[in-house]
Amino acid sequence: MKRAEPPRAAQRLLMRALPEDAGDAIVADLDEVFVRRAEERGAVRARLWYWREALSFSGRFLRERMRPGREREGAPEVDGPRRRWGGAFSWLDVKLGGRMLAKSPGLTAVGVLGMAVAIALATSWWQFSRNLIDPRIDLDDADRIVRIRNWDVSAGGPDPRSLHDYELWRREVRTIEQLSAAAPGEFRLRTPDGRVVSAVGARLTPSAFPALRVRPLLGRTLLEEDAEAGAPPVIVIGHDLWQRLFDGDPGVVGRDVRVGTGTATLIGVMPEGFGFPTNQEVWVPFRESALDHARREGPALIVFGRLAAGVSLEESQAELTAVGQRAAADFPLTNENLQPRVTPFAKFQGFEVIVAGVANLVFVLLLFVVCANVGTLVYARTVTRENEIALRTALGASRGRIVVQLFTEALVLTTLAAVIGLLVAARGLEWGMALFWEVQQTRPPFWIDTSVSASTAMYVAALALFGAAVIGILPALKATGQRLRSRLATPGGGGETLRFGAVSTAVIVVQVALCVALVPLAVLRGQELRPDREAGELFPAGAFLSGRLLRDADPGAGASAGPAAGTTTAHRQNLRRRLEAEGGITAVTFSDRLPGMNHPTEAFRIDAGAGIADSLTGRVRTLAVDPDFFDVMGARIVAGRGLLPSDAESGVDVLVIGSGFAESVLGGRNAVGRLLQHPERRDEEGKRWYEIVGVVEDPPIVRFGAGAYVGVYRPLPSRAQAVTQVYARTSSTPHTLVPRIHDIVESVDSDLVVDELMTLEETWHPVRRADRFFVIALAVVSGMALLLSLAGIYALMSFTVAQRVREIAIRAALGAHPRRILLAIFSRALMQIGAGVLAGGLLISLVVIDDAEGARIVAGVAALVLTIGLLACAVPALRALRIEPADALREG
Amino acid sequence: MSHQGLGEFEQMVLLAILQVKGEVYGVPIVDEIERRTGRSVSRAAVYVTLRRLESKGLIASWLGDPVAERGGKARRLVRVEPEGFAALRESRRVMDRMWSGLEVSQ
Repeated sequence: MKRAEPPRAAQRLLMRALPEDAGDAIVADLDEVFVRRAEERGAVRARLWYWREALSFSGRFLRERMRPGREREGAPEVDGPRRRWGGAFSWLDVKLGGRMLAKSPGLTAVGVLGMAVAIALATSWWQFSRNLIDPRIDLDDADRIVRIRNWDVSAGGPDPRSLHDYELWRREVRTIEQLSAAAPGEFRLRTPDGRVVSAVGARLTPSAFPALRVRPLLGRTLLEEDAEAGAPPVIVIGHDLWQRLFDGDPGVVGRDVRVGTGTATLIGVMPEGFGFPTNQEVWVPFRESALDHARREGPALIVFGRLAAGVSLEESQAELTAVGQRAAADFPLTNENLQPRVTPFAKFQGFEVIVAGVANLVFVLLLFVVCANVGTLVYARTVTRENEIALRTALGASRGRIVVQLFTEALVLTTLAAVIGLLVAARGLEWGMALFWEVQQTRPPFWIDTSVSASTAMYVAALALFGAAVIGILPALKATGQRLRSRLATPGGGGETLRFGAVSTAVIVVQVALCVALVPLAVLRGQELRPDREAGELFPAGAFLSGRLLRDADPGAGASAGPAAGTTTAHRQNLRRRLEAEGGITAVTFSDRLPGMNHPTEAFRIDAGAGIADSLTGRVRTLAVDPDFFDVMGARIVAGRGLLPSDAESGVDVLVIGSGFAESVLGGRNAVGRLLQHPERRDEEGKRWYEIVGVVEDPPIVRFGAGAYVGVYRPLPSRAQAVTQVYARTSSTPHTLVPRIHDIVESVDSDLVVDELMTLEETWHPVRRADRFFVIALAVVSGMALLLSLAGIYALMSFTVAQRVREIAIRAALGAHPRRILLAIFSRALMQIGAGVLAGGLLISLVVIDDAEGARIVAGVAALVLTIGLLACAVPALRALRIEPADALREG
Repeated sequence: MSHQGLGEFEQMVLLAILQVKGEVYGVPIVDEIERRTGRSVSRAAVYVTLRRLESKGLIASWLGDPVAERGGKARRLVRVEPEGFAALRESRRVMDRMWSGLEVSQ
């Protein structure tokens, strides 16, 4: 079992708050007690205890530091006179705030929940973006590790094919030491028991390990002689891979491992958490030299090194610029537009930082909107405390004092929300990031740290202050403004009371508009992502084994790692025959990729033909499939014909489209015989027209997959690209067939391997989980928004009518007909809500919704808002009408 | 050297240092106080008090050897200095004088 670790953020907080000479020992003491408590009472309670201690220690030591010297030396430890910050802040306000929370549980629940969601979102993004833009790399003196990239000025992007320049920089650059290069790639390792495991790795110049100042856990790292031509092939692996492949066997060093099509000696295992340059776990020597390639050709490289002692980034850049200019003069054909740039490793600068900053701002804006809503509710409550405020003013409290009191009350509310938000973010981020990388089908960069950092905790504190300012200060200023004086003139009744008027109308209209515009958007998006249940029932995903079929190179020979060449028709036919002869496998087919998994769209244009004014364009996902793909996947041809074995060979450009695509683009018109083009493809490919020869019912695999419909099917070429996806429909337990399939694949061609072989259900599991998570998150956020808006609308409307109770009663007493009075009240409410619905409807029609489904949802939300609004008016209005006319007149 | 009298908590911490068997540092000191008084004390208050006692010259502290179970981190060990003993004796004398001649019964 994994040993419980104390929360890292709490440790960091302690290290900041405690005096330098005491921090280490105190944290180690707390860690020691933590271990004991975790064993006795469980990890969760121990963590909570640790946080409590961290806060207590930080508070005590900070207070100790702020004490005047004389007092610090003296004995009194506690119970001195209570300090008041600036003479305005008092603990009493905090207590009052706590009491106000308990007094209005509805407002507390709505406000805290809404803000907690907004704070959790803002915090998650903050932490995530800090991780991406300014990560803390766990390597010795990591701030001095820099990366050099050739920037292509004409293309506006980096050019990673820099082998020639790398060798030049190595010779000439003095400001960066131990300059090294990594060429990332994919490696397939075969375990002693015959399993094939894919791993991301890199071919690395041996100087890399000293440059990174990292030592192996077992064995040794790469040496210069390993990279020499003809040296025996060697491999270094990462900690996780060592666990996965060899169950952490300490005697693994020196063993021969099958890598790709070659064999290499395992010489070392790296420590846990090391994955340089990003998420690699296999390292072999880089053996290519500039002689092997023309300039700006060869492998894509990541070039890095360490700034020499005393050299700044700017000085290094100046040297590189000079080297780059000389290269441009010497090789104008290739290097004229190249500018070498040096940046801190793994840190982003410029555009990405701005994007992340803007995104932060969006989340802060979301919090602002939520706070404005809660502020409306708080304002309505503040107004009911009018007499209390007036009385305190009369007793000598300054306006500032009352504003601080209301601000503190709001701060209690937002602090509670911030604590919940932070906890949710901490949990959610860890979980969400794991899911994110699982869906990306890759491991996270080794520097990603999902634990909440001290800067994130500070950020949350800032958000809580910001929220409290929005919720507390604005309503407080309004509630203690000019009108309070008139209230003071006639305390206890009469006089002019605080009113909303134009402001309330504006707030209601905006609230309603946002509800009507945003909620349907969220509902529709959620519906899009909901898995297609019917297809799920039709398609036995658990019975299909599928994997990536590819031909490997031998990285030990110094060639590029990763797939070398694709499968041919002969491979596939041979493999099909052998697999189908195997018991338990009923059918086999192929495609060029797994539909729906990171599946990009590309532009299309359909020649509309006579009768249609414009040609039809849009974006669509395409899939290259084997002729019997539709049969095996259980999809009928509904018009024209399917794909034939001869289609791949004949040179005639044909394709089949899916029924859903045909319906949405051509709407019932005949598709067969029309021509389709992919205009964004390069050169001649972009001009080529393909004939649509048939329409196939959307295969359930495509609908079931990941909500990513495929529209266009083309024949799988006789010589496929690097990777082919193979599918085997099984009739028995699929997992028992896995080792056998590996053997059959190898027997067809010894270079051929099948990778990531598992059932389609297993393959799609993370994607579906991510979709479900997104739908739930969307539902929570939009549900929160709706709840807050409805509460805001209700509070405002009922409040405005409640303000008029006496007026209504008097009018009734003077003989006005109740129906007339109600009509006056409701017509105002109807006008406000109507204006909001109109504005929201307009907003949403501009964006997306133009179908009946969307209109229905908009109408539903509008009806809900209207009901709430009318209810809000009806309750106080009916109460007013029930007041005896005589009482109303007497009081007036 | 003149001292302002010791506070109750300071006395408790000084006495706990003397009572602890084995290596004397924050963790066993807190345990000792809790065990003998039967109530929980604020750990942070104990550490703050230790620093204050040290700044008054009543105790001395130094870093011990690295401890493997603590991830190689050392303990800050403490001991009572002669001034500390003197202050404790003085406190006790003052209290004894205050108590002398009194019988407090339930």
